[in-house]
Amino acid sequence: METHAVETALRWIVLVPLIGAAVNGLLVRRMPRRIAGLLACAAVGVSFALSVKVVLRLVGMDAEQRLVTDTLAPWLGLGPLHVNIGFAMDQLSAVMALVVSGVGFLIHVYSLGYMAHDAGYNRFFTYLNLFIFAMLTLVLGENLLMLFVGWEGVGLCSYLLISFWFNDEANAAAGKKAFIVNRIGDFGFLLGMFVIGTTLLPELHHGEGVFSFQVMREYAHLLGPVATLAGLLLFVGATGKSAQIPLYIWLPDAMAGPTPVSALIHAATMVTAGVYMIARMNFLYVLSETAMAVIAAVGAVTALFAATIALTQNDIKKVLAYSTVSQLGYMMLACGVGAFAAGIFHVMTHAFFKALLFLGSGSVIHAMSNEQDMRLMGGLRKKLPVTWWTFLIGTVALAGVFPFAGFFSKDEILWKAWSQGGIGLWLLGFLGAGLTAFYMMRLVSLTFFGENRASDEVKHHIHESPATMTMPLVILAVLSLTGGWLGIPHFMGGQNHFETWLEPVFHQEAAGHHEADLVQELEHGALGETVAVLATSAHVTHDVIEGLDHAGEEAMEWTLASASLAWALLGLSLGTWIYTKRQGLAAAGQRFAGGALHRVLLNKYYVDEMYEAAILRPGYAVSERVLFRTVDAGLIDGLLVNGSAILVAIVSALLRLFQNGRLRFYAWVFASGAAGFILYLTVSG
Amino acid sequence: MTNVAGMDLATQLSALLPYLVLAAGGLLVMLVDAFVKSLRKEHLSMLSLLVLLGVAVANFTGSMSLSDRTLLGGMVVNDQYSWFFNMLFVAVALLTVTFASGLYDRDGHYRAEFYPLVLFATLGMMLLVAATDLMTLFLALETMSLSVYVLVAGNRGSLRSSEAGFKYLIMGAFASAFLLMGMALLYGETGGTSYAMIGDTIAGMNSASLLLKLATGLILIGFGFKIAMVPFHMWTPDVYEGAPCYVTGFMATGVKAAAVAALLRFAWLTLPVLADVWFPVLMVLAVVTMTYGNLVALSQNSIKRMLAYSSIAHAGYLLMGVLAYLQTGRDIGVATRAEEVGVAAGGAVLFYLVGYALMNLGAFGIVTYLSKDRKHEADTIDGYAGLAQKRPVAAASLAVFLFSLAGIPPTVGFVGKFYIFDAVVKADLLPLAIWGVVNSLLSVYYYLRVIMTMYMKPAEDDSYSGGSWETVFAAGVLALMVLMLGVMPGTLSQLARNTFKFMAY
Repeated sequence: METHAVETALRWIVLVPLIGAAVNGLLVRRMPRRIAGLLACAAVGVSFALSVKVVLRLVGMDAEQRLVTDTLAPWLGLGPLHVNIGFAMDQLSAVMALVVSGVGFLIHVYSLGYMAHDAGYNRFFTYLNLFIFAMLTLVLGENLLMLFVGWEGVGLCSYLLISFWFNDEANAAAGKKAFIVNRIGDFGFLLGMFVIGTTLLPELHHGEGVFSFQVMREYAHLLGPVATLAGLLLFVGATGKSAQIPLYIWLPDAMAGPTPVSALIHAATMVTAGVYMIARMNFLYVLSETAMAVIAAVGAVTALFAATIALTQNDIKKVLAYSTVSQLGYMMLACGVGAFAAGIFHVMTHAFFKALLFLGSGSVIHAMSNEQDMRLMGGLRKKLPVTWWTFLIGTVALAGVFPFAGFFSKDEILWKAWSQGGIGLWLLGFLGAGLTAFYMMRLVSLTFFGENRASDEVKHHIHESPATMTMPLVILAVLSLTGGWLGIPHFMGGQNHFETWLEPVFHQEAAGHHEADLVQELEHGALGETVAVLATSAHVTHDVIEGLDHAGEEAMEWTLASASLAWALLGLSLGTWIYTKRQGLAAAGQRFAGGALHRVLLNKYYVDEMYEAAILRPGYAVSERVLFRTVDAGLIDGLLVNGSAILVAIVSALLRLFQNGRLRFYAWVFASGAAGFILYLTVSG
Repeated sequence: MTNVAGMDLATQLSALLPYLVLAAGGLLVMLVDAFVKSLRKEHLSMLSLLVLLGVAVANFTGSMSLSDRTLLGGMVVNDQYSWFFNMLFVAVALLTVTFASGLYDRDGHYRAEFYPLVLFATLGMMLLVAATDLMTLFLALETMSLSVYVLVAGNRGSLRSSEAGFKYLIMGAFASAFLLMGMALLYGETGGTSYAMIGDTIAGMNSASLLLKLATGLILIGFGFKIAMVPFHMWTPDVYEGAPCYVTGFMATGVKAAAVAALLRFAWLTLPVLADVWFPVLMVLAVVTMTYGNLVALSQNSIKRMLAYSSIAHAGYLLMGVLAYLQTGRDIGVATRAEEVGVAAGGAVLFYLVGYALMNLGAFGIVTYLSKDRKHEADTIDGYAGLAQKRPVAAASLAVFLFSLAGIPPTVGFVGKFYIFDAVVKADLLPLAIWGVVNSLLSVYYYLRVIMTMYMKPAEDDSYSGGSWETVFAAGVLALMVLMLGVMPGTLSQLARNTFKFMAY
């Protein structure tokens, strides 16, 4: 009975925000503003409470049995293709659901204050609730198709919210860009699904859902031959959603949306969907070394690449946006070296401190009368005390200073990159980490230290934000400090509860299964006993070596952790020192190599321009000259459409003549039809 | 009373409860109208709705103890198949009464006979599907037809309506004569009128005798008339146009569904020997029916006439499903996976009938809603100009229904067509499926034309305006269902497949 209640709770986690969106959306013009906002917050609050309830239930189960499923209805049943509408929560979904609904709730509350004077208040909360619904569908969906529904849903909401203030042409363009770039990724995602579907469909028993994660995992051994192809295609989708090279270009532009949106969608939740998807499909990815290597490389390069761009940006939100791209790179890097748990750990800690930073920047922007250029800020430390302290905590957490959350998750990733990926990947990540500390301190120095450089008019209005905005900041600051303690690594005397919790999800059943099969097969063979003895001795040797390794490993972990802590502190101090005391050094840096380097970084490596020249312009040319003029206007419209329309119209008008309204004629047609019919029956066989 | 089928009378009567409630209810409505003088006009429609709800409850509770039960000495059967269609017919009747009463209330000249006639016609439909004896089949068919003849002529002041009723009556009598002749021949050949007996006799034959072929051929003509199959369709446009719009909706969905359902049961009965005989004829007729319907619909200016031709075209799509089913009875490759293909085909037809009822009734509901009174129906397509601004909910609902009729996702019409085409492909009839798709393409033009008029042309002075809120509310709910079943067809399609499986396998 209780189990049942818990199972149906699962659907309400997802549906309650949808109901909130529906009520607010349908009554958008009639709903009083206060109630619309509170309703939206309450809907997400209920989702969070229900998530906690189900997660507590999961905690009470055996580690290997932790799964709650809730199937609503069969969705598609086409011969062997069977898909259910259903939700499932395991350890991985539990983490994601808590982060999405929890951080989502805080950002909803923050928006009450931030959007208070906006004309589109009700519309904003409608979209925000709709987003939470789609995101929860994504992380709680029981199969890949449900995940994809959520995936598209969050994409739609992202588009709607980026161009929320659509009266400004630039905002509309940013929304369009995000949508189109994501479509490219989605195309890859779809193809990846097709590959998996066509491979598995012929092998399934009747009624097994082909895209169900359980089923795919069970049959993972059949995916071996297509693992690289399917994995890379799905990864194309992930590069779109999670803003990796080469599809990251939409995310910085997406900052055109309201700041709570940047915090919720473009930092804490939606952009991590790609990481979640790869972690969710871990059974597929471990089958392909190539796919894993590509993911690790793309992740590491993105991490460093985006960090370099962040060094030069002057818009406070743009710096944070490139920082997000960079941090997503770390998560991908973790997945690529097989450390899925570390990747998800960073998803969680990043959600805390990056949401905090964005909301803090929103508070700054709010105080500065919507000014976003850091060159016109400064000295806000005294005037915005709560924002300042919480922002500082977010910064050190992001820089990875012990004992803040970022330290544990980033260090875990760098260690896994070193031990499982190699020194090259580690070095890229390590360099990026130092730059992260540096550009964040540059941001803090320009914003909070020194003299205020704004106009007197703006200065006059500077004020700390209301409690609805500062409370979420404080809560997120606490989480940014403590969130990492869930995963204190073994070498520091911790238990790494986080990794242990996720372990069953990433447990490599398929591979282990295969090996066991092989051993069993050999044991039955003629050489059975010899092999068994060899296997045992090899096992023992392995254990001994592992024991020796262990001590060395721990020392190495200490070394790396200390190095990255020192590196982060160095970055932080340099950033502070240069941008408060030695502004001249920054100017000198800009002039370095004739200013070329600075120009390249400031213009984001001219990637947008390259895409424009290499893809957009040729594409336009082909569309305009070949597809539009020749094929569409000439061939299709001229010959096929108009031609066939004329033909059909003539035939139609002729047939119409038969319908002359005369009963006798009707009876005659009937009778001759019947006569023909009877004649046929008589003469046929 | 003798205990014919081994069941006592009480059990039999309880199994027949839905039919008894409906018959008694019809009589009650008639008597109340005649003898209760202080009656207000809304009361009759309320009473009819209550009767129909009672039938639904009786049918639903009856399903709890559902098993394959032959009743009244083999005259009717109470199985999941009849249960499924009973539900459909009750829903169709409920909506028809709702739509009609909305218009009657505006119009002021209500006709008391309307409600009992709808109830009796519904009873006829239900019995038509439950019939397992030629006698019951014919009685049920005539119960339905006679009521509908009168309903068609229900607009008493209108010449067109009277003409339509008259034409339908003459042509219907003509068709009934063919049907009856076929039944007589079948009785002569098999020596019985019950399906069980006919089935046994046919099972004993090696090949179809000439008499059997003629008998079933004539019966097929009778059914073909009811479902508006070319060349027995000539009445359709005139009758659909002349009848009051809510009656047209009732005929296009209820009568057609009943005839197709009875045809499928009959096809199942005679499948072993007759599939080979029927197949080529029906193949030609299905192709001609859908093509003809779609082509002529292109050049219509009256929305009711357009929907009449569209209804002919949809009869063609339904026949495609029947053909896929017949294919399983033929001595060819498909026979090895007969059950799989058969269930897919039968399930597709059942699903399509439900979907078609929803979208077509909805479309006629909107036409009813926009009609000023029964003399001035919202019939010419030009009058729909600018409806999107004037009546956004009605326009949006009608757009959903038309998209669905055209088979565009995410609507039930798309899924229904998909299942039909899927079954046809499974039955190795790929060219037929392709032809079906080409036809769907053709049909898009005339459906979209109405949507274009509603959304892209400015309103004129004589553009239609709204009517009673119940009608548009009911139509709005239908539109939501059309969309919902288009997104989540799983449950209904599973039910349809199971239902057909229980009947045929």
